[in-house]
Amino acid sequence: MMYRRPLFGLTTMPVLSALFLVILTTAVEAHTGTGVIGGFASGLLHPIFGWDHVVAMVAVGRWGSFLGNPAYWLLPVVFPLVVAVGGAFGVLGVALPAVETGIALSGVVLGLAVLFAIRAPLWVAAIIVGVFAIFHGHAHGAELPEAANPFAFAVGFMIGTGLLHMAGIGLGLLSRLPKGSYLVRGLGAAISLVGGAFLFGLA
Amino acid sequence: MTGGSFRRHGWHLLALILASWATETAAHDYGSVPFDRQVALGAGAGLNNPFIRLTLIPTGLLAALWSGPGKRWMWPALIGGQIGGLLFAVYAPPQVVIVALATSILTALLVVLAWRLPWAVPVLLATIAGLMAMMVPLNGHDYGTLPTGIYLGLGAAMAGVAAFVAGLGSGLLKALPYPAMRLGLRITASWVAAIAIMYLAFVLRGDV
Repeated sequence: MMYRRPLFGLTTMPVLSALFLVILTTAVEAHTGTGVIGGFASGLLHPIFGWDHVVAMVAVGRWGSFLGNPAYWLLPVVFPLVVAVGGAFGVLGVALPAVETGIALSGVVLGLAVLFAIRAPLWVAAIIVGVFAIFHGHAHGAELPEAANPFAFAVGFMIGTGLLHMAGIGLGLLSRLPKGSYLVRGLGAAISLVGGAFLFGLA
Repeated sequence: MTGGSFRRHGWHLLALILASWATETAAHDYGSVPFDRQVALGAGAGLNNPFIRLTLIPTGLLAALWSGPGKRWMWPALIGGQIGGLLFAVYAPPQVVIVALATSILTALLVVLAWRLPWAVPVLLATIAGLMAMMVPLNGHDYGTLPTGIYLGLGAAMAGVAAFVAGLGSGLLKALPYPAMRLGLRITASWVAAIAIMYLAFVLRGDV
């Protein structure tokens, strides 16, 4: 058959198909930030529209609520502060290795911590959360556009991050309900799976 | 007039004609602005300045949450710092904005940590905050280039930002005297510190 004829070692049909698909493609529009670039809304939506970030930040709030006082408020304080430090590194172009791996791993580790309700000492939990926060912050900082209004962007970014933690704390409070801890731990398993999907390139 | 002589004198003549058309620059000409409008302009400039907000919001939160014996001295210290800033702004380098943000971060972190502070520390921080808050907007302005109303408006806006935050925080703590409210203010301080850290990065990158 005609399409079976080799062309430079390949068959013609797959090459033509690939060429046809290439012609069909348009310019990618991810992260163009059209309309909201560099303002409050851009900063607010930046952490909320990335599932790898969302699950980790919610997991921090959830793990904190499992660990009780003072972790339930201390971890959500530590995380945004260290995210800001990581973000500053990203903005300034300071290189950090394996950022995406660190982000995906944070979902896995924090999800597992919630799933197994690990009662880590406070300082250990703070270090784990702080280390992962550096990766999350760096990714955001490195992706930032030349912010049109840096102050509004920074305010939006921190409020978005904080709201995700609050959502995590709120979900963690479900554990006070009868059988609620099973639900919360199940959500921890889901977070871990999402993190794993990012880690192995499935998402 | 020979060609050479036109080339020599014609350009001078043209420059003279153009110079005679020139009018006095209108930038920063507040001479005709009424006093109340000057105050409003100064206050608006102060309230719209992110450095001022970031420097003074943690000071207000510190005043709301700290309950040491020398608390009442924070306000004279803040005003004193502003007067100092008024006097020394002309000598300050542009990098004063970095010191202002560092003060903001330090103060906010002290609020988050809620350590027992010796009375001199909050008073000193209030002085530095007032000094920085006034130095940042006035940096580069020589003495007498701005009318009195502008200075007055700036000072009032700065004191107003700190007083508003302190009053709001104290009021909330009185109205809702629960540990969660105190924690809420400390978490707010951590967010302010985080915003200041991000903003500092933008300043260092040259975006601001």
